[in-house]
Amino acid sequence: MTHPAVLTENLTRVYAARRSATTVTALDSVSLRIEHGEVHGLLGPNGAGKSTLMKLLSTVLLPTSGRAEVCGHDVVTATKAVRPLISVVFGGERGLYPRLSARQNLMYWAALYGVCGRVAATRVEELLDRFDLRDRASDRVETYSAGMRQRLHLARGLIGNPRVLLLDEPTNALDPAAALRLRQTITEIAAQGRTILIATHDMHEAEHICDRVSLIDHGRLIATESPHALVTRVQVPTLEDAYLSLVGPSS
Amino acid sequence: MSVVWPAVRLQFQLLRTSNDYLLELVRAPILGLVLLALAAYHDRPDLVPNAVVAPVMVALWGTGLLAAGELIDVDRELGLLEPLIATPAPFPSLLLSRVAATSALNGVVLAEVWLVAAATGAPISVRHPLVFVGALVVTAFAMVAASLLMATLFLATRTALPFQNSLTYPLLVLGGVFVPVDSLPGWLQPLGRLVFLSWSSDLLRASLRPEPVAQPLARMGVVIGLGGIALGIGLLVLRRVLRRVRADGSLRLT
Repeated sequence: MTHPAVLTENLTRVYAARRSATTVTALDSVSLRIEHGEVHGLLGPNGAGKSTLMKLLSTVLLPTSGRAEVCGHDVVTATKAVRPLISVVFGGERGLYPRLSARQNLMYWAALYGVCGRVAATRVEELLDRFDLRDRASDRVETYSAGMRQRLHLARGLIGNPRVLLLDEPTNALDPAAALRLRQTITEIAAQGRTILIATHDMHEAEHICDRVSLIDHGRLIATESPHALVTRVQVPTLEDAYLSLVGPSS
Repeated sequence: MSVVWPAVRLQFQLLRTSNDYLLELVRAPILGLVLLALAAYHDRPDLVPNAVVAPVMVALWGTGLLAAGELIDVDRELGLLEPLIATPAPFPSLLLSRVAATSALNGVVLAEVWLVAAATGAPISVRHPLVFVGALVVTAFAMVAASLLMATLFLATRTALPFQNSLTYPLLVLGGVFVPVDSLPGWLQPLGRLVFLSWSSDLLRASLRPEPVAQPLARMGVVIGLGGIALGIGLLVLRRVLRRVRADGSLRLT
């Protein structure tokens, strides 16, 4: 039996407040199956549980109950097997050494994935070319535009040749042209057969690049379908309308 | 898979951009100059080894503490801890390699202080080279181990700065960096002997004096032992802390 790229069963994560007895359920019994090569969108308002799911799958957070697998490996009991298979890219300014160059950053991250020496150097140069960063590859990252940084984030995410790429709001804070370019790049990456799980607020983005989307609100999975199927089922013209219909404008 | 060299290379690249670390290269020779001037003013050539060793040990402890705190605090602030933990690379090896790279900076500090001593005409020479080199090696090991332990402490807490500030001078006093532990109040001496800096400082000073060094191997063994204990506790606690921050979701918190 072939394992799916990502599988979660009743995955639940509860955060306990440090100085009080209150708890927050960030993810509530989420069951999800994502096949290899799929681009899967996670849609939901802020605090819906999208990032929590990303963190659980990337092994940096432990579930409260339920289970999750990446390519058949449990994210809690088989972290050593999971980590070479996944890469997580968080949006925004975080995740790179700003005082180092793109090349220096990528060489370091390559080593963390066990890619060293000439192989690493070759792969770094390929990624710099692919993401159009070669001309500025020796400049400090802190001098880059938001679009360049986000492309570098993606390059970093690919340096270990992961089978599953987790993208947490990758087009956040990008201007429309840069966001469009990044979406094209994500589509190209998906065409290589990688599985991509992308958390986004951008319905237009999700509609155009995702094979299927999952709507999450208050930690609960509301729907998992292709954007077209979702729009058809809810009988609205766009995914955004479907989202507002299912999640509600108040969210 | 070895992450040692890439981590060392990264740390050297970061050191070149960090004023905090480079400040030690300025501070240490100035401190050396002050202490050497005091020894000369009071006509105490016997204190020249103290004046040379103290700035090096201060820099060693300072950079070790700074590295331990910065590796966690800065990486957390830059949003690097989560993606780092999510890679297959062993996190303890990364920490140890980067701290070791930082401690290598103290080789430059030693050379600087020595040059200052030579420039001021202070009567200084290594009388027991093997003890001197051996003491430097075991001290570097113990410092790296202690830094790992402190980095683990900083990972478990939300910020390293209060710990860094409160651990600097008490440990320098307890470590007999400026004056030997034997000169401290009696009730403090047993505590001082638990700090590897006290054994290291004594050994380094002794290696610069003409008198024979008593039990050098045993004293180096104590430094290695204290460093080994710190390393063992550090690795054990690090494993637990990593599990805890994954459990309570505090990895990203600053």
